[in-house]
Amino acid sequence: MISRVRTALETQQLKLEAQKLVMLLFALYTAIQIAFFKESPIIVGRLVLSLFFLFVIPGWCVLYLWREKIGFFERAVSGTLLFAGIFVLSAYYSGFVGIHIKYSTWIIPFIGYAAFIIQFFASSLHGKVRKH
Amino acid sequence: MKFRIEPEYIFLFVVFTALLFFGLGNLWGHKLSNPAPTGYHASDAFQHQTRALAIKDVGTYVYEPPWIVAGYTDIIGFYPPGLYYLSIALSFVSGLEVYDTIYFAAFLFGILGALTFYHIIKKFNKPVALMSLPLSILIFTGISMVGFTWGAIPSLTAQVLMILTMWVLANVDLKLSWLFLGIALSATVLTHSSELVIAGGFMLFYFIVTLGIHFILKQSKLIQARNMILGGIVFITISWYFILIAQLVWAKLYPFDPRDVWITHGGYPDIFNLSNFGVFQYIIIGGMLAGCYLLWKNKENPPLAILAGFYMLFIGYGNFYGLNYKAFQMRYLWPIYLSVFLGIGFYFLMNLVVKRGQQQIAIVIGIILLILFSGLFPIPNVPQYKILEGQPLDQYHWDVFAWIRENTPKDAVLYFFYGDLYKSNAVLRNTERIHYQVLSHSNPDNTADFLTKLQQGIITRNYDSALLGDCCGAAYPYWKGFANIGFRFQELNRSYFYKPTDICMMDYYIFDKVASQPALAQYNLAIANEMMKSGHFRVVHENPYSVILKNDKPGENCIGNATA
Repeated sequence: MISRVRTALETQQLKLEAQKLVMLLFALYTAIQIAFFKESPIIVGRLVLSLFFLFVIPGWCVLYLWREKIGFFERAVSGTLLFAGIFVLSAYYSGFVGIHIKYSTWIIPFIGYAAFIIQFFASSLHGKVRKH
Repeated sequence: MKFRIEPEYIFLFVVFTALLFFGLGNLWGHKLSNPAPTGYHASDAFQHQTRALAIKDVGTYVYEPPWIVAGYTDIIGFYPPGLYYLSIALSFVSGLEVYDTIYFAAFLFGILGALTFYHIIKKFNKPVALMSLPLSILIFTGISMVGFTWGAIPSLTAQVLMILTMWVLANVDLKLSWLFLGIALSATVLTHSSELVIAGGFMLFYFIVTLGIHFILKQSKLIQARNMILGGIVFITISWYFILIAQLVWAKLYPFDPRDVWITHGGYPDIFNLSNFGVFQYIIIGGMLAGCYLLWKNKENPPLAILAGFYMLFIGYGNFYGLNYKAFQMRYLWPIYLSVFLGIGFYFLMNLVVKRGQQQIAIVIGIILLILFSGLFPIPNVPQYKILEGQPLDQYHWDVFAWIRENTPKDAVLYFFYGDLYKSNAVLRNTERIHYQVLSHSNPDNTADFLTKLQQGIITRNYDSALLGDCCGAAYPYWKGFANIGFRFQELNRSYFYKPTDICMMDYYIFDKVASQPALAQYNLAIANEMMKSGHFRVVHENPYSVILKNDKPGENCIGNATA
């Protein structure tokens, strides 16, 4: 019973976070389109989706762990930087085993997505964020 | 649970959009996709663009691509490639060119750095954070903008990752923070090594402060201290290889010397000083005094933003104690680091008048500050944004580089005769071929051989030339053995790479037909005509600015002793 309530709460929270992510997507699109108003919306859209696929969503996934203590927007900004860091490290070192950057570019974001799946289903991480 | 749009979000959206609009938007004429590199104002800027392009084509960065290091194939990939990887990934997924995405990434990360620092400030006081953020617009103007357009973008991006390290430290009591700390530090060293010293120094400083609070003030801080130690271990585990390179290459070539005092920034236009904040420097200085008071008042839990502000002020003056020009690079982002003091200064002023609704008033003040700093209304003594429009590399030269990349054998050797553009010789690496360049710069003691021959009106088979590459920063390091690095540029000496060279040995020759001094272009064309007379040269590509000749018999005589 407790676990079902917890799951329902989690799902509700996740829906809200997803809403915020969509809002962020539109906000970022709008900001970039304003800054580069002479550019075609398709190119701007492709760039924004690239940023989301590569850094924003994976970063949000990784920092989902801290959702109880840190607000969405702060996690989205810092998560983007954090995942950019993870991306750089992974892409650089995967080159040493011969993986071309054109492949690792598409693979590495899934580290973030996997981190989210692990958090969502691993009960030991469920909503527990240590604060001392 | 329902999503509500807070006034704070609208404020952040406005600031974010303004920074992007005034920063890269104005530089690029509000176009994202440029026909050629745009806003590249120095050779270093091309150095980064060409290395990113090279990694995109080669796929890895274990070794330097040969055309970047005078043809060697065993030179260690020595330059921290973090920004390059970010730009390549963006390029692959978005379809934009690397020369665009590397700038986009650097500018975007600059803004994200400002927002992350905003959140660090917000942890101790939200109105202070709101009034601090607008100062960040100044990173995209004047001296700070030089950092972006003259090629300090890896340093600036690494500083943003250093801010991320500070942010993780501000949350170091949270679960797995040690892992994120290790990642942030590792990403910093992999983006620009010297920033690691600054980030590591701050972490050590914060660690000592934390221990001091634990042992002297008897506030339990063991978890924080433990996480910082674990973060350090993660960092060393992830980054040992690049730390080794940084140690064996950069630290060896540029040892720390506290007596090394820099007053000017080499060939750079100017230095960022507190006086660049105009009349606002007094509010910032007032904010510093108030910051000391706040640190004392909150000594059991000192605000990290204030500590970071003072630390980066101290680092910014590192030119007086051995940090040389790197200290000046840190000052490029002073509008972010020192913004906390501006916010505190305004907060204390606001407190004298208003006690309630401070957050709303802080947003209003923030918007007013943004308008003031944006330069929409010129006001004396106020630091204001000034527009900088970037010129694109001319299309004709860009076409020449692209033509060579796409139409010549990978092992072709090129020779560039005089071109106004080629003073920034890193741009020539866009050809992705090994290349020589005629030396046309005179110095007070010596007139360039090329110019002497031009004045004498003779054309010869030998000209003083440079076998070009990124020679002089890291001296072409290569592995000699385990943890043992040799430097080809030092071992062979400069004279091996800069010497009289038989120009008939090359495969392709690039002549500019237009120059700021017409005599130089005329001499170029006279040499080209002389080569054509040999019978084994042909024109393979031509446009109104340049012509490319192909030598079908490299090594055979291509020039008699002719007069121009």
